[in-house]
Amino acid sequence: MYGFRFDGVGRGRPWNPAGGMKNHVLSTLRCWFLAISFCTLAFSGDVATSQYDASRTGSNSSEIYLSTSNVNSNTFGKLFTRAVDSNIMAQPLYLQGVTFSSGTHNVVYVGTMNNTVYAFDADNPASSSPLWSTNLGAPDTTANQWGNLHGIVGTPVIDRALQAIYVVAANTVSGQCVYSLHALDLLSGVEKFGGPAAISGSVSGSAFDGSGGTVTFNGTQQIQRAGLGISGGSVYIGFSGEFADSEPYHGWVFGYSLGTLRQTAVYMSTPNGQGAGVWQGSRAPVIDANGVLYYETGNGDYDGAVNFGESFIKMTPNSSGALTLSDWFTPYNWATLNEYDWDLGSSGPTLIPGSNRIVGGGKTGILYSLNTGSLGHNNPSGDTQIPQSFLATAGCTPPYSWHACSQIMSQAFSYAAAVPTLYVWGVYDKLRGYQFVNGAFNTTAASVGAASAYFPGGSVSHSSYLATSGTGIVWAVVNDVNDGGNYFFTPVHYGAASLHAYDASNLTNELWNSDQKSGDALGNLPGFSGAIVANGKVYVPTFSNQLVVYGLLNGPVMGDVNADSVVNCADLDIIKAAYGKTSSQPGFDLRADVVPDGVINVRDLALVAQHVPPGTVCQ
Amino acid sequence: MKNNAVRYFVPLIMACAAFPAGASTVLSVSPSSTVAQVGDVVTVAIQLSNVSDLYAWEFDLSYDDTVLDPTSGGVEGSFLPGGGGTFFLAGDTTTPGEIDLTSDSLLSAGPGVTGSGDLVDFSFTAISLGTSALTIVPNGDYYLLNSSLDAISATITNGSVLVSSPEPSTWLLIILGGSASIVFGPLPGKLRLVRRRIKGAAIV
Repeated sequence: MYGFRFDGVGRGRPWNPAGGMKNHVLSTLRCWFLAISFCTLAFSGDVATSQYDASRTGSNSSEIYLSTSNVNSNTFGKLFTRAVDSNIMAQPLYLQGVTFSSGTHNVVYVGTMNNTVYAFDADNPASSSPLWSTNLGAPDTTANQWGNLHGIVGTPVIDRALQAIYVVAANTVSGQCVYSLHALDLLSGVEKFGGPAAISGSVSGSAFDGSGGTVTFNGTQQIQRAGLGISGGSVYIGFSGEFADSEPYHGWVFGYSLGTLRQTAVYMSTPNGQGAGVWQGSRAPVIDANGVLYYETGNGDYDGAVNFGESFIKMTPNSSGALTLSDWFTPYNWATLNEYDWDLGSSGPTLIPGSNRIVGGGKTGILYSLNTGSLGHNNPSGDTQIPQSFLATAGCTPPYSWHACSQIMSQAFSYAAAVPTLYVWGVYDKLRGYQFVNGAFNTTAASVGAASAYFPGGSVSHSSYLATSGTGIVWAVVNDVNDGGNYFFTPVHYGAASLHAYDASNLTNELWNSDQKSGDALGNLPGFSGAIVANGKVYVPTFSNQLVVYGLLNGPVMGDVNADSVVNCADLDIIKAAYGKTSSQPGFDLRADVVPDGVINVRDLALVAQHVPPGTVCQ
Repeated sequence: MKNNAVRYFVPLIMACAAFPAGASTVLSVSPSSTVAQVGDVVTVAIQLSNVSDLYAWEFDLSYDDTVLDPTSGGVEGSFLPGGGGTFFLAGDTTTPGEIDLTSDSLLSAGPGVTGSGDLVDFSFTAISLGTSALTIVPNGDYYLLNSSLDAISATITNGSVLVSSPEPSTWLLIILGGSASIVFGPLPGKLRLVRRRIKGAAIV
């Protein structure tokens, strides 16, 4: 059906199958050309880390192919799947234009619970065999949360300059769970930098699981769920407790040198207590422009000195990567949160780009908006010292019970939208969008979806082309199985799930979902991981031993710059408006760079012009 | 396939027949030299000759902004529209001494135009005495594309504009008491032609 395509390289547009022989030849030539030219580009379409970026916005604001016009059951659906050897809990990662000896590919990287890392061609349905795959040893069997397969859980992170993907695998050694950091070559999967490095460490403390004033990391009691993050020359790895908060556990954060895999940091959130895991709904830490890390912790002891359960924690790395806790915020009701298992850290924070605000919520459904320069510490009489807090979901319904709230597990922030909006979809609640205006959130949702989600709510992400009207889409992966009111993961939660697409400006407008056609079915729920959107395709992990890829069924329409499914003068006008601009200049429009060389010129103009219908008169 | 053959090969054959063997494509400023007086509006054409399958083009033109001032970013010539609908983008005149990124493309799939003709006309006001080169800059903005969007090679021939002092009037010559032909001799024909020309006729 696809024939030869050249959208497999960078941002090239697909061959129009209806174009006939001439187009086939032209496309072949263009494919070769684009493969060459792409090597010099900035890779703006990469998804090299959890939630797209270090701010953890969960938003791809440079998506040029998908719009509210073409995401519908007629033109959008399942394109292909990639079979893997186990469940996928980690978010997939994506790189544009990776040049292998065999050719240039857009690549999607997938880690499985069987400890296998795959690199797949991200575009060609026929390329079902991985470009490479590497198994990092038999998965851990000491944890039983995922059917005795406990391998790669935390989302890996890629450093493209170092040509490495950093991933943590769990193995069983002498009956104990051991975690190791691997740095794998992006082109081959071969270990780099002398890896792997076993993750270990200890801190001074009086925790009951310590000994002689030292608390030592015990992998069997911990799980590496949070995504990995890179700051400076280190990769940081967060840990929380093993399944069901099985004590003793702590929140641990380790840093390892990117280039040597030597340990640079060890931080533990409750050295004199217990708990305070770094769960984060699988999200990676926020890392700001200064390289400072922000996490949220879950249930655990708090004393405002060394124990920081139920807290936002800010950690500043020094020049060698070692971390110092430099600030924190702990809600006034932290003890109540502990009492009811209302972890603050059920999700992770998001840094509002261009501001000094960081926002995050937890199981109570309350969002906290904090000043990064002064997080606020703790005010026992109320959270009045912070810029803002408000209930963003249905919240907790009295009489309160153990973890029975409309929990926040995920959020996405459309930072590039005309009115930036934070999207959350709490447990047993509806998708909601809160606008961020003049440095604060409007606490009444600007838009609310119609459907309710079972546990764990909707895992949301967002795509748009900057602030262009008609391009904003909220994507959500939700559990399809009625769990009867459970507020934590049970086997039923790894049953059938579905992917949904909503108009970001009107959440009652569902554009498409994977249950509309049987051929589009997603498979089983991938825990907290949601979809990633890259270059017109949507990549969704599953617990069905496969990665599912959705997109435009006939590929993007050649020349359809504004993604409205037709090629006409409006597309040429977009090129005209950005004509002559280079990618470093204001006014550059990525959509208009149809021949992706970083400049809008006659090659873009002519390529689009060739695809307007005969008889078209413009200007 | 048959239609494709008719559509693409026939123009190619016609093009081959139209051009003598060895005829090369030339992109030129026409006329190549022009003389004007301060205050005149001078128009030059950018012509392309002996081209086959031209689908789109783009280039920058440089000039001496102390001598000339462009009146616009150019007016589309007649050559490309001969192949059907077009999308013309006048050049950017914001940078003194340059008319940047003047562009044009045919619309819809199909062959380009073949033969010779004007791509664009540029008009300048002569603002001071001197000579301005008119140079088609062979930089990264220079493209002649065929319908496969491949580059067409061409030889570039640039031009110039001489802005001179006004001729003395006839009465002035009489008052001076002599025959113009004696005092000044016959003015060069091209100067006399150019002064009256608005749009560049060939210089005699």
